[in-house]
Amino acid sequence: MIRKVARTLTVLLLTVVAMLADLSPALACTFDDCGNTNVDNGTIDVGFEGRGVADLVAGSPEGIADYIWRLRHLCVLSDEREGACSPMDFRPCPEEPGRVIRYLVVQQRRIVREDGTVAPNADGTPVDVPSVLGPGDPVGDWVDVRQGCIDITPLNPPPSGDEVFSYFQRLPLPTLTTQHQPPGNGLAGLPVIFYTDSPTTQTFTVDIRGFSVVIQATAEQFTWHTGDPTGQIVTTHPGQPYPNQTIEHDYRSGTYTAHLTVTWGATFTVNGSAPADVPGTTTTDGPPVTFDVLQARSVLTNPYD
Amino acid sequence: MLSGCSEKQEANDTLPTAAPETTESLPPVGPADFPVPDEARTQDAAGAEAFLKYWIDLLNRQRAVPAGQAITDLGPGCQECARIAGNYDSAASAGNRYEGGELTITESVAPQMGDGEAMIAFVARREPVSLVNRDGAILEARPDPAPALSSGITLNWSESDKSWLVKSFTLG
Repeated sequence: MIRKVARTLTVLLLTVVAMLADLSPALACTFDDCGNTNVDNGTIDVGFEGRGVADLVAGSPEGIADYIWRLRHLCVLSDEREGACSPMDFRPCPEEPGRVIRYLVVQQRRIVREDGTVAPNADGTPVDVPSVLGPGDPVGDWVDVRQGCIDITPLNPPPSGDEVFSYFQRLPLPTLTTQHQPPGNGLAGLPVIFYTDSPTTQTFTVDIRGFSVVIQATAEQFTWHTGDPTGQIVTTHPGQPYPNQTIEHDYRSGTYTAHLTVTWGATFTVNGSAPADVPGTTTTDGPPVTFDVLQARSVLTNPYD
Repeated sequence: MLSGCSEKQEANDTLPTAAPETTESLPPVGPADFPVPDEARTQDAAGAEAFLKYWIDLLNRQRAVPAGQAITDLGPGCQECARIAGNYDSAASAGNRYEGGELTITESVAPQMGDGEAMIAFVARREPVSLVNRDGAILEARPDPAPALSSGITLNWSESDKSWLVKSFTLG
C-alpha cells in the first residue's frame, strides 16, 4: 500500500515537472503585452482558446457572439503566481475511454458587437466601451466564469504526458535475459558474472487519438535478483561478459534461480515535436535462469596417468 | 525686577476653538519612494481610476529598473502581474534591461463598481520596446508601437491596506 502511494506521488511529481517543462516555452513572452501567446500554443497543460472552446463552454449562441473564451489549467495560474505548480492543481477527473477530461478554469472576455455595444452586466446594467474599439474587438479584462472537469475531447488536444504514460505502461517492452558466466555450473569461490546482451532501447510509434506519438524507451535501471539470501544487485548499466565484467556475485554451493528486472524510462514526441520526458517509469521482468554452484574439491591425481 | 504690562490688553470674548482634527494616516502601500497616492485610496470610482493611472506609472517605473517585486506586492493574486514581474526580475538577474515600452492610457471608461471590486476597461498605447543585454545588444524587440491595446483591470478593495489591489490585469 505504502509503495503504491509512493509510486502515485512519484508519478504526480514527475507529472508536475513534465508540465512545467511544457510550460516553459509557453510563458516565454518577455514583454508586457503578449496577447494570448501564453495560451494559444494548444498545449493541453497550458490551455485552449478559439471558436472550439466557445462551442464547448459558452452554452448559448449569445455566449458565443458576445464573448471570447479560453480554458486554462490551474497549474498555469499557480505557476504565474507562485513560480511553481502545486499538487492541489491536479484535481482528479473521471476517466473515460477515448475521452480527454481535464480540470480547467473557464474564462471569458467581452467582445464588441456589430452595434458597438457589449454584453451588459448580469443585472442588466450596460457596460461602456472605449470609443476606439470596433466590432469584434475584445473589451476589458478576462473574467473567471467557473472551473471544473471539462471533456475537451472535441478540441482534439495533443496527448499529454499522463496520457502517453498510460500507453507506455502497456507497451510490449523487451524482457531482458540474464546471462551468466561461467556458462553452466558455477564454482563456489569463483564469482558469477552477470550481464545482459538484450537490447536496452526500443522505439515504438503509437497512434493516440490520431496523433503520431513516438516513444523512445530506454532501460534506466537493472535489478539483478541473485536468487540467494543476499537479494539483489542494482546497476544503471547492463554489465559485460568476461574479461570486461562489471557485475559479479559470490555464491555458496547450491542451486539458484536468477532473473533481471529492468526499469524503463522514455521520451516521446507528438507529430515530430521536440522530445519530452514521459512522466513515469515501468518495469519488465526477464526470464529466470537456473544454475548450480558447485563446491570444488581438491583431489590428488597421478600426473602420469 | 518685576514689570507690569506696558499696554492695555482687551479681554477676548470668544472661546478658543479646538485644534483641527488630524486625518488618520494611511498605512504605507507600494514602494516607499513611489507609494500609492492618497487619491487612489478611496473605495469609489474616482479612487479606482486613480489607482489604474498609478498602476500604469508603476509598470513604467519598474520596467525601467527592472524589478518586479512592487508589482506582485500590489497584485498578489494577479496572474498576468506575476508574469510581467517575473520578466522584470529575470531581466535583472541576467543583467538585461528594457529600453522603451512605456505605457500610456489613451482612453478609459467609467469603472464598473461591485462589492469591493472595480473593473475598468481601457485602451493603452505601448511604445516600441526592446530587451537589451549589458553590452547594449538587442536580444528581443518590438520595433513598432502598439497604439491601441484593448485592456482591462480588475481591482479588489483591501480594507487592511486601505487601498485597491490588482486582482487581474489584461494588456492587449
